[in-house]
Amino acid sequence: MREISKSVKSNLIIARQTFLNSMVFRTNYIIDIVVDLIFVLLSIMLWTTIFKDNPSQNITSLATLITYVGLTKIVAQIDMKFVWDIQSRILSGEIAIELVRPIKLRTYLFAQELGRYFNNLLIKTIPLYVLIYFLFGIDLPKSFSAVLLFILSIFLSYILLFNLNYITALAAFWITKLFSLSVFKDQTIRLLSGAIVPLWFFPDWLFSITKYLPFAGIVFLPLNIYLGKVSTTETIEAFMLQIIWILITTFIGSMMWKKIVSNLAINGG
Amino acid sequence: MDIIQVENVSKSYLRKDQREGTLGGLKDLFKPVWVQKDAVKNINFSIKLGDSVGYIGSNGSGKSTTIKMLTGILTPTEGRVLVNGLEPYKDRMKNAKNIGVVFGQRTQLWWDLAIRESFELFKHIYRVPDNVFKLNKEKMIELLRLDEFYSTPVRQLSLGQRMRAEVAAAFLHSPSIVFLDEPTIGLDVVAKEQIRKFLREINKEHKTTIILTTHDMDDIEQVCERLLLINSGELIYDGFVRGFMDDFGNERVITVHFEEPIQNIYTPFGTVHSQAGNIVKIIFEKSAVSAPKILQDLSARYPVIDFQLEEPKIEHLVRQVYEIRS
Repeated sequence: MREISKSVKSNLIIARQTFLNSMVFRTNYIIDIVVDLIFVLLSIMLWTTIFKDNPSQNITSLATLITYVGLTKIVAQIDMKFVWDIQSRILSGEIAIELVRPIKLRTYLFAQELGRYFNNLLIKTIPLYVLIYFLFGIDLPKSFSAVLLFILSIFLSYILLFNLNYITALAAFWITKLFSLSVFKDQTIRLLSGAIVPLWFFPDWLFSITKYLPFAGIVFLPLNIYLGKVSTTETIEAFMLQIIWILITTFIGSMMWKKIVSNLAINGG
Repeated sequence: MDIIQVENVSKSYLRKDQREGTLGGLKDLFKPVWVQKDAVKNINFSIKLGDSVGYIGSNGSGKSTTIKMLTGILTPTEGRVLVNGLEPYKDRMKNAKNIGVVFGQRTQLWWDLAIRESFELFKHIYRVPDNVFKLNKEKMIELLRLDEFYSTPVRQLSLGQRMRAEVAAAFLHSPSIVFLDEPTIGLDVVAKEQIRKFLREINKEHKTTIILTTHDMDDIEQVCERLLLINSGELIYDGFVRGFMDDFGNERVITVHFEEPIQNIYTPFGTVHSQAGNIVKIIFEKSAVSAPKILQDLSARYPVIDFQLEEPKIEHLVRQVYEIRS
């Protein structure tokens, strides 16, 4: 037990460091928040126009849609920052240094990204959310339990997203230039997770497939839980899907890392 | 007690070799040529707790490969390495906790954070108890004079300041062994001196085993008692630094710049190695005569403008070892 609490503590410290780190560049922060604001405003305007032209859309209400768009920002960054860092360190061979540290690379990166996430949440996402609330009005969660379930679901979404990024980063070991793969990953996630277009608007056949892919667990499922658009069984099913995909991606990631370590150890760092 | 044992260790890599030309490139794609490179060939040595060992060799001699095997990054092709009773490449995490590592060219500090924050992080990663950490930290700050820039972000530090912080970071968790891979590369004389002094003191007082690779023989002379010299993957010298320098490191080269070309230049204290116009290279024995004495003699007779004293190069020492032995 003490071991675990110590390890949690060291990870919290790592998270805190990145948290502080992210605040170093003030100009970056201001630009980022403006970019986010423009993006959200554009999406809301776009959806409002589409909605007004097609009043027959009875899938969802405009208020729900605006809430959805506003909330997509609560999900972690789809293209996590560490991917580029790891890729350059794999290419330079510097990744070998990770083998002389008494902490696992994955754990370390995870804690680091978590710090970045909370930083984002606190200084960007929440202010943005509040702003949209006052400008357009946002549906608040229906109950306290819905909030808890949403937080749990967002946490699982975070792990899943991290795993996909981790796998992409490690792929640099086999594919020298990661750029294309990384863009492919980002766009696939954006499209199939419902980050750009809610999956309700997908044709039925596509929806029934995407529902079971790992991507839906990143944006669509958590937001549905927030909006209260799912029944209890569907909520449980959503959690199950997230957990299954987390297990699969964790396994793939750790297999890749093992392969990299043994390759480094045998073929030179 | 032997803290490090290296027994019959060899390491070879398979490297792809590139054929020449476009056609060759195409052939490489389908049937690459694999070439075996033996980086380290059957080396043996052991190191005792509290030793300070200089590990030298020219570029590509296999010293980095050895350090990587000792730190657990590489697995030997043959033989066995024991560090603190563990095989580092099998017990990476456990080994990592007992050792400190400084790679001169790479940073382990956080670029955007103050040193204070990085140290705090090391404390938790290595699970250093509060009282030990406090003691070590204060000692490092004092010995390496980190106080001037302790709360400055790393990216704003000079190379010398950063290296001092890197070295300090490797000792924070009181490791029994610290590996330093070229810690003084690119530093000015003052910063080099600070690091050497620190290493000497910590080795004496805390009995921390130090293994140092460098291209600067002064580092070795001032920090280490023992020397391992490796060339083309083979260990060619293992003994005391002092004895080594007496036997092989005695020769120095001084280059003297004269106002005009001088015919039949002569000095009683050394031999003229080469002459190009008004620049003359003289080889002398360090134990027999000092450089100022040579200069004094020369400038009394010829118009000297400038001079340069060369440190013995490792390549030169290697050659000397071979020459004197054969």
